[in-house]
Amino acid sequence: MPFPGETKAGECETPVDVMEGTDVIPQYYDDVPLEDDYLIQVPELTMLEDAMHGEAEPEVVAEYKLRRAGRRIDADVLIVGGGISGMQAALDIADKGYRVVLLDKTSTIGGNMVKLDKTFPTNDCSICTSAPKMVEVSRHPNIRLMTYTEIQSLEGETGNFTAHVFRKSKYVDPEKCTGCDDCVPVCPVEVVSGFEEGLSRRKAIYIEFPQAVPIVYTIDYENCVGCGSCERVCEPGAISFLEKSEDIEVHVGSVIVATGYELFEPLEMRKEYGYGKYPNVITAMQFERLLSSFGPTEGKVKRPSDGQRPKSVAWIQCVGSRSKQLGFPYCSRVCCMYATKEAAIAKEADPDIDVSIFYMDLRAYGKDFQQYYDKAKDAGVEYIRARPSSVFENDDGSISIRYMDTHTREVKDRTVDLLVLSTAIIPSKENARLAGVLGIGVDESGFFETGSIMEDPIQSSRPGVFLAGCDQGPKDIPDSVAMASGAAAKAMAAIVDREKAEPAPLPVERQVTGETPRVGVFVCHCGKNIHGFLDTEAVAAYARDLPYVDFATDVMFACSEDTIKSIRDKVREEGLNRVIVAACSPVTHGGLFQDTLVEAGLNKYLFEFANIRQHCSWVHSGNRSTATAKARDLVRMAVHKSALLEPLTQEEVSVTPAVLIVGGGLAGMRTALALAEMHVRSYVVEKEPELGGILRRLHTLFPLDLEADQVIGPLADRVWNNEYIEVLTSSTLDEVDGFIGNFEARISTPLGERTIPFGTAVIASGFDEIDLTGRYGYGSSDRVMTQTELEERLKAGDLPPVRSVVMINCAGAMEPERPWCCRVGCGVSIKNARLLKERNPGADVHILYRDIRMFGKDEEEYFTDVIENKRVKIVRYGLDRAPEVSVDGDGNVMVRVHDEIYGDDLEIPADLVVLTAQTEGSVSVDRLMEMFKIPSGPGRFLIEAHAKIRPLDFATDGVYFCGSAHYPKNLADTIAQAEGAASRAAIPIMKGRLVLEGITASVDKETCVGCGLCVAACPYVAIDLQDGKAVVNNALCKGCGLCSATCRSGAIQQRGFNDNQILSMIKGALHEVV
Amino acid sequence: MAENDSWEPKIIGFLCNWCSYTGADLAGTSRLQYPHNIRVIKVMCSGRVNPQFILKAFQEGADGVLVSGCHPGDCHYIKGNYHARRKLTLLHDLMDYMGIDPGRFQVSWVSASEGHKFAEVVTRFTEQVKALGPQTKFTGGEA
Amino acid sequence: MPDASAKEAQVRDIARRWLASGEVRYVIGYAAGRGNVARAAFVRRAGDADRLIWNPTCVNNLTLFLREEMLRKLAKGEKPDPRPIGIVVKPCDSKTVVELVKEHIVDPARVRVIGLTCEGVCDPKKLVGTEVGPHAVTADTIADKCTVCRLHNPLMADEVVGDEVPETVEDDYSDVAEIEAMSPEERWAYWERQLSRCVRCYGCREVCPLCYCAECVFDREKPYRWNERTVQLPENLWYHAVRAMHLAGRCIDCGECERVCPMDIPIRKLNRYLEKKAKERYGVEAGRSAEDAPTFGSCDVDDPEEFIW
Repeated sequence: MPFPGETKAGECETPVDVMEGTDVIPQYYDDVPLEDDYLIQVPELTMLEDAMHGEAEPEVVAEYKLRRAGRRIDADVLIVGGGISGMQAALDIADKGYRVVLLDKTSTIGGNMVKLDKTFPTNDCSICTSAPKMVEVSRHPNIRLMTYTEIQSLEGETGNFTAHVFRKSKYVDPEKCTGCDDCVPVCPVEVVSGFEEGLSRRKAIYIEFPQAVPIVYTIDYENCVGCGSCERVCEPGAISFLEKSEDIEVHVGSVIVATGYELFEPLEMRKEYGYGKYPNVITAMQFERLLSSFGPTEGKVKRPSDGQRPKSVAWIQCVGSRSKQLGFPYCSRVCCMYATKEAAIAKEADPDIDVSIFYMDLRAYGKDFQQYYDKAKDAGVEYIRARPSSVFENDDGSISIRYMDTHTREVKDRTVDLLVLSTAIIPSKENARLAGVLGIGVDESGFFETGSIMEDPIQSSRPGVFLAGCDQGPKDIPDSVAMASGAAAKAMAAIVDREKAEPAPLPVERQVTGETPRVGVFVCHCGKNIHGFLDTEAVAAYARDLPYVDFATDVMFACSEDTIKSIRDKVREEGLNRVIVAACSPVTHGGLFQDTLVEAGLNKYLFEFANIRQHCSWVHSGNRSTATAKARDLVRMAVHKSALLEPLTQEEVSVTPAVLIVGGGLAGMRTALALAEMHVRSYVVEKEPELGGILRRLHTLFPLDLEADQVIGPLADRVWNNEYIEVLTSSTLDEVDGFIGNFEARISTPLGERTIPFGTAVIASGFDEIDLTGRYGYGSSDRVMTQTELEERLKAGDLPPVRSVVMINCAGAMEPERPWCCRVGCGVSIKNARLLKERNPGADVHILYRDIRMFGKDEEEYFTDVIENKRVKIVRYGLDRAPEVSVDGDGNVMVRVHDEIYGDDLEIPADLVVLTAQTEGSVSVDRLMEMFKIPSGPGRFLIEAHAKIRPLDFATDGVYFCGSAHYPKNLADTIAQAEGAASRAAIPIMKGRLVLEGITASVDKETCVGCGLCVAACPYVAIDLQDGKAVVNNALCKGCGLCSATCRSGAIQQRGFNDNQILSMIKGALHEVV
Repeated sequence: MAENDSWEPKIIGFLCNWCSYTGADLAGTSRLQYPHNIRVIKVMCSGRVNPQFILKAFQEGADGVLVSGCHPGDCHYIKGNYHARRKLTLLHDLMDYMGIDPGRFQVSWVSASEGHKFAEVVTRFTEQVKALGPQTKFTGGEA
Repeated sequence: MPDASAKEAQVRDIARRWLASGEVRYVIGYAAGRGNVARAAFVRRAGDADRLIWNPTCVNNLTLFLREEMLRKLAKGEKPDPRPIGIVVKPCDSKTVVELVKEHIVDPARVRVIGLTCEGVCDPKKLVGTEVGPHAVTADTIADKCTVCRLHNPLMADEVVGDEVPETVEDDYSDVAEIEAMSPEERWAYWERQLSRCVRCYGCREVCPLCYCAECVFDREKPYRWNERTVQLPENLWYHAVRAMHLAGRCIDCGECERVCPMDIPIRKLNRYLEKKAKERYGVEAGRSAEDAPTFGSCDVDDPEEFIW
């Protein structure tokens, strides 16, 4: 039904014209059909059902029986959900050699991440980092990708599950669809685009976004009027209204659920913020689409009412979160940072824009978050600490926000052109149904329930079914990715004894070295997509006369099954030893044609692409002769290069089947146990005499008040007694040699020196509290101690009764010298405050804080309970007026602090001052950096290969990390990371052999003088100087070519892109004849 | 000057595989129109572009050279584009200092999602090179 | 100015001592040349140490010979001699040693450095027509490179000869600024005039201590050649531009290229321009410390990029 007081669906037609004419973006929040409702009654099935009840023809009965019986797929792991978590889990398992079925209910994989513009705190382009992963998933031989598919039942048990999945017909043949988009302009039906968050429309035949995988159009049956226009224009004949939906039976050993999240819709609850009522109130995800360069406004922020560029934008935080009454009680974890990011990006794009964020606590708790937040403040993002009570619209469409200034207690109004609501991550509405289908539990909020939120965050309530990503609770991308890898590790236990997927045997590669180049050129029409705008026949004829070209032809669809076959045949018949396809893009189709060469017995590096569609016909569609001339040039360039192409070998190296784990704390132990479940041997090296790390010193653990000993004791026993794990305590790592697959460590143990070969390593070296001596009275009185020291006292039971306790959070943190947030301190302080209050009911307990950062599962709830029910007092202070601790001659301790909220100067006498000390990476990191060639950043925390999508890897292959070596974290996050690191570290080992990159660097020993410039430039530490010459380690080289560009003499060259090949293309581009 | 009116500059574009080449693909998928003059050479990373390639392209008769890579921070190879930035910035400086039309050489950051930006960059650069006329300093030809 | 002959005596003493003790294989130093420029001397015996000289004609950069020795392939049957080579350097030359160490060409363990403090040497070209003999460094005779030099005390010297001289603090790029101040057309006219004269004798390359590639790009024939050998402006332009890029962030302005150029092409003005820009933009300076990262082998996320779209 229409939103009260708003126009009905049909009346929304007008804004479309307005959009085209005057640049206004219409916004739809009423019930114009959004996406096709999933699981609609599928027409053919209905027809068949009907037929069965009547007097059906025998063939219909046979068909029906067949359909009901369905197809059967045997695989190892079923993954439900193809967002970033599902993709990561799928790749982790498939890379280990096991078969994965990956489902997504939408027509593409990618999930929510691809909707984002950039990602905090690195401002990485979101689609740029996800798209390669999507392509990798779709091309992986061990992954069966099924989009537009949903799970309907799951029976059986660990090791033996049977799932029924329903693959809905897209009515487009994926084998034939070329992704040309011809069908879209002719489709008469417009539907509000869910992908664009209702900011634009799509047709009934559509792809969600240009980089969708698979690039196959989908007819949304719900909205299709069946006019057949698309079918008439589709040249490859891909549209098939007869294509059938299928019920498929999938047999697997484990299941991973990665179905993601939804965002809070502030329509009923939180309607005081005007969403759905005022056009210029939008959600943060809508703002992401406005920022996105492939969004509805091409990355230019425009406000919906009039398409004008806003001069001021405000964000309201915690919309739908941190309030049981007005949404959900938990903290949604990502909103502070995404709002900061959106505001900072808006400010960067337009320095004159006013951006402000209304917040309660700014939860910049993660790695580099606080620094990102500080930078945003410096850049001019205004942070206002208030929870606005209401907003109203002005005549000019601007929005006024009413709030109470927490400093002056005044009620104020602020007027902005655009208001963005930072809506919370909430459980998918489908979770209840899914939980029923999957036989797993949901928690009180509606997220899937975990085995134990602290000890087993990945395990669902059903054995053999594991959780990854935001379906278990809100989290950011790296935490989701880490958890997905963790789920991949857990899913292995049930299938590890199965036979691995065997790659199909390939024909023997024909040796072409020494042969004169014999180039074959295939020029694709792509229906009218190329041929409609340039003369492909003329291009093929031109190619025929180029040097080394033995065969050239034009083809209707280069990627069609029959052309692929004809390419294979021509290679054999004509004795071709180089192949060029002039068609679309190597990014989407390069792999397909490379595979074709391999099938024809040629090295895949003897293939070259000429992109005459995306780079020519489509962008020069107005002038046939220039487009044809350009296509000729592009083909000529490819021919020049291809004559110089050489077959490249992808070397293989064996892998020592053992993992070295540095650090025997929680992270190291959980890594070892997860590896053991996968039957992978590991060595745990711990410098202390006992396993347990920092947890050994702790009393209880937030937020469940578990006793640390109860957690660590049994865990250590399991590690000591596991047949796959060898523990080396009181031992130090002295030296590491080698590279991925074949490392060797020298370790000093109490029993003498050991030399241990290993294939991969996991660094779990933990964190330290900083030394606060001389600050906050630390060191001047035994009544001033750190939280860890307090825990030790509590554990020892020798803490005398107290009457007044002051806890000082952020001691040494978030200040210029150490600008990061310690991430765990707020939780520790609130837990210990509660404990002290319970033991000393009459005592005054104060927590002095900068921001309360309770972001984890159950943390906000715990905090609220302590503040509301335990009468712990909290006082907010600012960095400029930090608390002072003084100790007088009699040993009396006094804490002075300025209360930032009430403006009071407080003096609190204390008989116990507890400092929540800043943390930093273990001191051992300095040595580890040298030994493993890994980098560290501020606070000695190690730096991952990619902050978002490779959070557990280093740029250096074969070395992974987890736990607080990455950044301090709580139990659940540490365990998820540890199990994730185990999965990452197990991949090379379970593969057994590593196939190395073919495009690598090679050194000409004669001309190399060993100046070391390439060594310095190489981002992967893949080059060494040996005896005055550069030596490339192919196991580490990624083939970027940076070394070649840096070398003055050209002694180091990138295979496949060497100077000669590039020069030949330059010459080929500029001269008709070379 | 009829000849000059019909003169079309030759432009070489080095695009990195991961961002800019894909961004150029998106420009195509989005059916954006831009001048036809650019001839694209794909490299794996903008960091692969040796300044000599640019000077060589001029010597072979290019009127303009464009290098495009991932935005800072987005490099598929961690920091290849940062390296490219150093080398190519100094090359640009040198061209300026030697009076050889630095406007004929341009670097841009185009991400895989910036089809529009790619089309804009190519359009703007082509116009800029057109305004400079035929490049003769490296070829020895007559202007 | 400290007495040159006193420093000369000290140089001889050190060389004699090192050679007598056998701690160096030989000492590369300056000996009296025929014209207005000293020549390199390779002193192998303590008794020959008195051949060494130090005076304002010691303009050349001897590290060229050190580099040659370091990159020399051993002759058949020759046993490697682990003893270091002694070398006499001016402060500017000492920066070359640092740069060569940074570039792994010179092993610091294989070199002993006699470093002279210096406030300038003579430009041999400015001495043409004057009487041969010890020349005084005057405003008329001082080498151009010395007028803009900031370093007056040697870096990385095992023994320093001469009293410490206060360093010049301010950079002086006035020579470069003159060209920068020109219009683009004037700049092109200037370089066109200069580079048209180049005869591609490659003297600048041969004398440069940092041009040590085993196969220079300008000589490469197979499997492709970068450039033609013709002496025409486009080829000359390509040569000088590429060479300047190869020296960017590395050139320490010893001025040898200009000294040997038969056509008096102001090559230093190219190299110094990139030196200036590299310093301005990236804070890098050649020859400062062997621990510095190479300019083109390193990068910073905050490197400026104002020309990039």
